[in-house]
Amino acid sequence: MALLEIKNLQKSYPLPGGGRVKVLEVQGFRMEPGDKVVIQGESGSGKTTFLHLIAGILRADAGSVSLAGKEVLILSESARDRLRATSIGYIFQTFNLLQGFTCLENVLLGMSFGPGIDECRARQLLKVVGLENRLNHYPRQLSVGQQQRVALARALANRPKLVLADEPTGNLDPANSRAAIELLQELCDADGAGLLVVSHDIKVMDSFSEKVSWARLNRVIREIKS
Amino acid sequence: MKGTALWIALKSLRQHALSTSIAATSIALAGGLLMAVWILRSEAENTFARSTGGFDAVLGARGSQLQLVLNSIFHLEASPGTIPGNTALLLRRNPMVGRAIGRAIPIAVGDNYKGYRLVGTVKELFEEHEYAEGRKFKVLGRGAVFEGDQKQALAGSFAAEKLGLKVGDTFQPYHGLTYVEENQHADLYTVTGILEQSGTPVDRVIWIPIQGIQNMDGHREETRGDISALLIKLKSKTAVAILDPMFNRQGKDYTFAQITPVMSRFFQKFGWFEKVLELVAYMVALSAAGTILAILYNSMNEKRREIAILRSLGARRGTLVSIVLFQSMGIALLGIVLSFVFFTGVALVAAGLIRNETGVSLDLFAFHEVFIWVPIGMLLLGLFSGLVPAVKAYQTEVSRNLTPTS
Repeated sequence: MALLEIKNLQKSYPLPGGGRVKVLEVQGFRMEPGDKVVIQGESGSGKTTFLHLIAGILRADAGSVSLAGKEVLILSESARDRLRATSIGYIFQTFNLLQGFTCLENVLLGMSFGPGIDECRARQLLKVVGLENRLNHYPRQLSVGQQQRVALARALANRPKLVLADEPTGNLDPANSRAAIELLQELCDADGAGLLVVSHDIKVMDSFSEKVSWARLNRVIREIKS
Repeated sequence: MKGTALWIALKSLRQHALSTSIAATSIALAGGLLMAVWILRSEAENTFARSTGGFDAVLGARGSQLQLVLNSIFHLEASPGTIPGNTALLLRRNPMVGRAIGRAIPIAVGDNYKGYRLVGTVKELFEEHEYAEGRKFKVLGRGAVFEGDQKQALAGSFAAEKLGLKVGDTFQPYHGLTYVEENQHADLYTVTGILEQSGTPVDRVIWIPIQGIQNMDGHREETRGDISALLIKLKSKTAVAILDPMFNRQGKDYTFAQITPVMSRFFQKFGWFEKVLELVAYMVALSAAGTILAILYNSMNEKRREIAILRSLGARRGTLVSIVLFQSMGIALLGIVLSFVFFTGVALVAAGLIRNETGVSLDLFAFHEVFIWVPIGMLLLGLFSGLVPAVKAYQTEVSRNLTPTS
């Protein structure tokens, strides 16, 4: 069974003056369990929307998204919340750590809506990302690279089947970018999680064996280009 | 999931400690004020109505019933005048009322010692009379009640404490009910005993034999046999039906006042003041609710991104609603705890002032239903204040607030 299978996925947004603009049309996309795929594309081309549709944060106009055998688009909202809490890890360009929570608490949050709090695992993950001495530090007390490592640990906290990473190196320098991607791949390998990264950074592509061009995947962009 | 919501709510309250404290203080002021107003009113009314000193009525000179009761029972205000010293004897000889009167204790006022009243009376008040069901006045230690024919004094506990009087001390009284240094009498009194605290106005009086007041150096010769009032304990309450018209309607020389109804009417006169205080408390409560609502609502604007992040981690809309409601109720709970602190402060100060002025001890910490309904009311207020921000949290659009679309 495929980890992720997408068919004829379409999404449009309403325009202020009426009508709608189509931003995304993906005819087919598939990932097997443990796959690590990077989708490279320009900023503002609908990659984040693609990840939000997979995670069930947005509803598609048409098509299907099957994650580990579950049809995401027909699930109720609370079922999609549950799916995110138990099967998906999400990493953002801006890390999106909660500022009022310590490193350890941020990682605990990553598991609190799903499998339940497991402080040992949270501590272990922070040790793996090299932050065992920063457990009680708040995000503002950390460097940008350290904040990103907390975000990686949080994304893996609920033992997800699929990790979605949206421009995970967007705020990092080249050295930290490479280290972050390597760490992310190691963490996913350790848990057997699939990894889907979207990035505009061409250098990120070098770290992945499976590379997809967003311009080729999204029919809307193909149509614009042609 | 509820545990997670509670955890996040508490973290958030701690993160915004200043605004949390401001809102909780508003709740505390409202709750504390409401409890203080209610308890002080009901306890003062009940205690004063009960503080009859074990008597049913007072017979005194023609004048105001309230003034007569305040002067004779609470030792406040001036005496409305004097009545003949043989009034008790005349009453007992009256075939209509003689048998209805159980006890009649004469008192005479007119002097003080450093602002504390000297009241002349008879030993019977301390040796035989019960000031409450089964309770007689007690003299502390090896002290004793004064002898009727001696210049001796029995000090109330509060007066003794404030004046530093102890057994064996001597003092010279001052003329009048107000302390004026130049008006000192030549008579020298010796303290023979200190009364155990009774929580009644008796505590703030220095008691001397009635002849002491009557014969005090400098008092007018022609009124020496007079008394200020007669404190009456009735054998049967039905005697009121005879005594009231006899003295208040048919006679012109006396005033007969039933203590409890007079005090009830006295407190009814303060009804408007209680209403004003209650209104103030309700307005503070409303303002507290508004503060909570504003703080949480504004924080919702700041927290849209946090809410979106929590949703991306799998938090349900209901969880977010719970978080906001836990926050508002957390503020209310903190306010409730502080309201008891505030109430305790107000109650202690008020009880001290009342005891200083009247000698009456109020039991402000006995259980009262207001201790239940005020906290419940404050909790509901907190819940209500959190509803609008909770709806806002519920409606927060995740995708739009999560990250800029790339």
